Amino acid sequence: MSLTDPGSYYENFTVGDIYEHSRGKTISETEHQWLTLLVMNTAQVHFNHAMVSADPDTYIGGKRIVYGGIVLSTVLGLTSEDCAENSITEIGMNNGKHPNPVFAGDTLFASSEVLETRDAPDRDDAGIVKFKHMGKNQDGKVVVEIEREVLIKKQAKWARN
Amino acid sequence: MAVHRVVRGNFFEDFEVGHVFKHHWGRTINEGDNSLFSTVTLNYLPAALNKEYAQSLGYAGCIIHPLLVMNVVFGLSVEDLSEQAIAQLGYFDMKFGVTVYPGDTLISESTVMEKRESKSRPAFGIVRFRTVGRNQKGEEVLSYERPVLIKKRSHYGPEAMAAKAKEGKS
Repeated sequence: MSLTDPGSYYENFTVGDIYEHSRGKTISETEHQWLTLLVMNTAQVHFNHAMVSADPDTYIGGKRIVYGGIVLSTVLGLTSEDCAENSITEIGMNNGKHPNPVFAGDTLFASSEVLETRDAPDRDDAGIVKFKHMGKNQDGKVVVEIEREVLIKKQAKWARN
Repeated sequence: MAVHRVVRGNFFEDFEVGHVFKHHWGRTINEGDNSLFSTVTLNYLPAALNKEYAQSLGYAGCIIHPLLVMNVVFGLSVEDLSEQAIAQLGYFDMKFGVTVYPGDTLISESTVMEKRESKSRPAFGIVRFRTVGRNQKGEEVLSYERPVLIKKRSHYGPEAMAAKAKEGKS
């Protein structure tokens, strides 16, 4: 093994290819609470059980929903070894949606499609890859989808490292 | 003596297009935050977790994981924008700016871009915000837009909740 995955340089990504990522990740109650509070998200819908359980018509099933930023970050985490291990810079994201909610105990899975590859405008040792990432729960329901552009090393310039 | 019944967060009716919020607190992100967040979310990005590798890419040292930057800028905005929301609907036009390093302090600011009724849920409305995060030098580290489904004061404000509670008791 090398320090970073030798199969995830810019040249390795082909438009139309789909990656079904290896691992699933169960979002535990502890992670869901602590990550929300770590980033100072004060929305009680994530951490006030008395409030949400008293009003299941307002709060889906009377359950605390997992903060979307955790869903997005975990799903991107599941994609990162295949898609971003040789990245240099995160450029941006767009058209992100959360079609279904996530609750503590749900298990997330991820897949990615390569939408576009192009040379970087300002350097010749890296290129830009545009992915569409998708996260699903254990029932196959989509919990997040988003497009993302990343600047990734070119093998021709960097592989000796 | 007075009793202050504090209700934090804004309701749908409280937002006006063009409103600008300079959010509270600010946050200095440290190495512990970075390692905890990156590992727990399986984002084993070597530029964020391996100093020598990060330097080989031209960085001064480990960088703060961009998704932690995003979550902190977002988190700081919640009390003003979405503490009374029930769903975060999406992320649009997200652009990362200058690199964030351990020890940098982030602040967050948002503008109300658009508001509209929810067709399917009359007790809620949808508000779209644009949020910008900056470091201690004022440099942009992130910007994005997000639409949020937010409670209406008429249905969920303190007076409406008091009336509901009274109804429940009688």
